[in-house]
Amino acid sequence: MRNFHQNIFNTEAIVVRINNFGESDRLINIITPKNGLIRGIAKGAKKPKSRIGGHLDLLKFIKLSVKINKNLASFNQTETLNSFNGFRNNLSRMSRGIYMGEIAEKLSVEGAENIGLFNLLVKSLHFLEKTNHFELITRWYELNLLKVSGFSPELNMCVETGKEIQPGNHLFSSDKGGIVDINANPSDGTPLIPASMNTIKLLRHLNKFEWEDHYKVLVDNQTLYNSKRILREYIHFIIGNPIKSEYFMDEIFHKEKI
Amino acid sequence: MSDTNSSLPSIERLVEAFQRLPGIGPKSAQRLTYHLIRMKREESEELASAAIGIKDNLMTCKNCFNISEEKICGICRDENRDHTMICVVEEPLNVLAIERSRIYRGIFHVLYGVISPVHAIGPEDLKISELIERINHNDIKEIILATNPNLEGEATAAYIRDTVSETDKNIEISRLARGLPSGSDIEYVDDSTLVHALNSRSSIK
Repeated sequence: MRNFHQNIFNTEAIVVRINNFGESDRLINIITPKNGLIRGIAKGAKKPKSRIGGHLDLLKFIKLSVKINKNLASFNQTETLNSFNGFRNNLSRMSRGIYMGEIAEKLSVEGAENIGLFNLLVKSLHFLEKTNHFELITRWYELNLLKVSGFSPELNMCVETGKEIQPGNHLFSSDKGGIVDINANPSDGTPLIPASMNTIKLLRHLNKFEWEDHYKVLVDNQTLYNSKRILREYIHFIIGNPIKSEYFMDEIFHKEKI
Repeated sequence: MSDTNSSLPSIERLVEAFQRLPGIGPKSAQRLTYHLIRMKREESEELASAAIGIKDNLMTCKNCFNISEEKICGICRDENRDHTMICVVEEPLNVLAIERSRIYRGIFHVLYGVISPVHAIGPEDLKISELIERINHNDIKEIILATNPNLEGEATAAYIRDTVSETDKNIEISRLARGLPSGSDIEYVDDSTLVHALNSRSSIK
């Protein structure tokens, strides 16, 4: 374990991963505002009378006491701040919430403060409880997560020529992290994804404004699909590993369409 | 230099074998090994033959996928049970837990896990399509979803609920009630359990 400022501290956290361990313990990953990702053990959390077990479920917003040990942290004195009950009975919301937690976990660093990432995750889970724009909120979250993690894509200037993007259809390069002018013609064989003007406008809009401003945004399915493709490929490029929860989210998405 | 006890190959082999069991760490594995050394030969043989026996004699029931010694398990064969009611559980151990209550008289269906998107376990990895097949080919009136009351258990229950609803069968789908465990302390109960406990409160007669 590394870079933790104190050995014992209280913190707010979101639970992003749970594995059973031994007869009654659980290995749990949490995201915290000041200490980033923490991997720890919750002793006896599986027992029905455990005082902490009920609070340590996926995507719960909790307050807890953390003790940093040599290998794994240990978690105690847990209290639920918000269970996000609004999406616990709805597969569309649940599948997006789990995805949000997983990409936040992949972009979090152990022991490294990232208050912006933590606040964004809490805020997005709140929004997800209420909205019916599941795809739009997921894109908004992805863009803002990239921003707070330092990977915000360049959407106004061509990443190849450095010139301002003119109205029209262009391309997106995950390797270079932004829009490539359709006339720039990169010579290095970089894989490029089509980015229509509507898609670029949507990404700019989601990147710039708070979620509340998007309730009335009207987006056609093709634009939504293109923005999903661009952000997914870009996130894959940054994280480098497959996002496991994507498959389930896609399956639920296809069921929604039927 | 002579070998110490712990580096004797036969001891090391058994310690390593015990460590593969869930919840057994190096210390417990050593303790079990040294206990076996002190045991009588017949007792050790009985233990070894019981361990081999479960591999030779056990299989999964063709109907409910519970662990069984025959193709169809005792619960599925029992004509006194209600075969129109299926209790869906995550693991075979959950069948034992519910049977201990002695109140449930229906039959079971074991999923062998839950939908866990972060571990890449999807509905196709569980016995969900087999459950739908059972529903389509039998006269089932009620499905009780007894997956664990956590996010992954809820996701699995919601997925089964939606999938069963897509069949043309008129089936009642229920979920196990959630509330306070006996002997617990309200002060330490999480809010979602309290919400469920309050919503499912019952009058005292």
